[in-house]
Amino acid sequence: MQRQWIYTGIIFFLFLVLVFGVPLFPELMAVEIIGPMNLGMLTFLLLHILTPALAFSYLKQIQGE
Amino acid sequence: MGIFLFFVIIVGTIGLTIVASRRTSSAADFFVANEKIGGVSNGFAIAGDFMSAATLLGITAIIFGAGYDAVIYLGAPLGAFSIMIYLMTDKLKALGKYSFTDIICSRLKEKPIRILAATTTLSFSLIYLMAQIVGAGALIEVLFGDFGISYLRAVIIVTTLMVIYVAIGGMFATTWVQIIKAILLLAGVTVLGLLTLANFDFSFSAMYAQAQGNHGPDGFLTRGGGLGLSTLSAVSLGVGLCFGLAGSPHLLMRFFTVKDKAAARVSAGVALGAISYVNVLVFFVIGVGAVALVKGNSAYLDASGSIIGGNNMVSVHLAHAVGGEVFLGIIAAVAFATILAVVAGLMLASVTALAHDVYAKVVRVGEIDQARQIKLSKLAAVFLGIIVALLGIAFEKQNIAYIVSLAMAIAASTNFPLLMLSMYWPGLTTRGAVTGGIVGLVTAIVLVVLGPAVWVDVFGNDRPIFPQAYPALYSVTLAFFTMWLVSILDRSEQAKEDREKFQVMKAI
Repeated sequence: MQRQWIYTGIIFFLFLVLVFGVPLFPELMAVEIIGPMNLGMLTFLLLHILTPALAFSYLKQIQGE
Repeated sequence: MGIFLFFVIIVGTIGLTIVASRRTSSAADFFVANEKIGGVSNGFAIAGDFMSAATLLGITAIIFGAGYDAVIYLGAPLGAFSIMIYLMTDKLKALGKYSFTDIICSRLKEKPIRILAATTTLSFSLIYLMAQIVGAGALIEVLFGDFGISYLRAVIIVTTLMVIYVAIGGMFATTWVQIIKAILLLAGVTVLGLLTLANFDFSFSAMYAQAQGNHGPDGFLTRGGGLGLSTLSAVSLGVGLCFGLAGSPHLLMRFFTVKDKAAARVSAGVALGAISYVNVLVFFVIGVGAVALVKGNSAYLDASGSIIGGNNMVSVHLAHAVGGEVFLGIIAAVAFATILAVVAGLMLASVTALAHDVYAKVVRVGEIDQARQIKLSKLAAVFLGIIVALLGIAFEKQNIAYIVSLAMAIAASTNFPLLMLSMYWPGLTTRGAVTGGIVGLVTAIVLVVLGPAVWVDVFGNDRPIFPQAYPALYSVTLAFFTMWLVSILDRSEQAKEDREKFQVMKAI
């Protein structure tokens, strides 16, 4: 599978975890991890770090080809 | 301070528009800045085009009222921009000229596709513009009402500026306004976030503890459930926002303003970085800070105990709480600039749909001189500006949430499946695309009208015919299914040609 579909899939997986976490497993997402940050907030942060990081890594790979 | 910056923004952006008008002589200049925008600049312009007043004011209001559930609103753009970067930008840049319709027309029959895409673009843009104008009028009235700027005057000011930017300065002026807005917004939220954290000695724990206490015992500030969404509603909201943004014509057309695929990818990457940064600040600091410092604070409550100006004003009140009158003025001016940049982008997309897709390509079949096309585009901007202003005045008292939901559902159910299938599915035929596009458009509109936001809240019925407030999951699925079904059943000569053209398009 081409890497752009894999990257899109990773981002969508994290987004769907957030979406389904709201109605289906709010208690699990509310499990505290570090200080006030819980699993849901950590997933949100991961999505927001990983999305631009993957995008820039992809841009670098493409430019190198 | 606020009213001073308000006029600085008006005078400054009109000055930029005049400069831009000197650079606009051809249709390519007018519609896509003759591909002269750099990748990074275009990235900021896309961020400025995307981040409407909803990002700073609306999302903060959702966190303020419902807490954690705002993750769906904030996460959706990341999905949308990922689709754009990985799956769309290369093909948009390789096959498009002025609008996303060019890509679909590179393999399907031009006339019906242009008419369909122009219809969906105009439907989306006018509805979304109306929502922005209604929101802008209400917001500016609250922010600058003390200086005699009423709702009516605010609507007239915003629509007039929007028409001036587009009609006089075209894509150059629109781009510059969007870049300035993006920089102002990035700087504004950074300072707002820092000042908010400084109030708690940069202790997240202290800020969250105070916010949890103010938000109430339900715990919805940090756990799901505040919006009361069912599983289907949550998925439908996510689908609508994500695919709606990925199919938004005003964002897609920005990829035609850079010179090549590499610059288009850089644009999307920079926009994604800027949006992620603002989202994180809004979610972790500004929204929670507003709950901690504004909720229950008598300085920001009216006689009935509600937030002065409504929940959409909480980030502005937060700016006052942490930075006093001067910073309140700055954030109010940032919100104003935010509105201007978004409406200008939407207006340009509408003008392109009318002047390029319908008039130049369908009515004149490509035989039109550039001066005439630009003149027509300017007239279209004035005409659409008047319509939008009238709609903004007529819909003053309407709840704009359902209007935005409808706009997103339309883009998600028409433009998005049209683009994705024409780019990636060899079997798509003109008949399938047109039928599926019409089904998506009609379904999105009908389900919103029959849903609780219109059937109950607007028409006053006891219960909705369609129980979901967010129709995108159903309308998008139906649009994709119809395009697939009609295409595989299509045995026409045109279908054969459409499938053959895919191989040519794929090779580009």
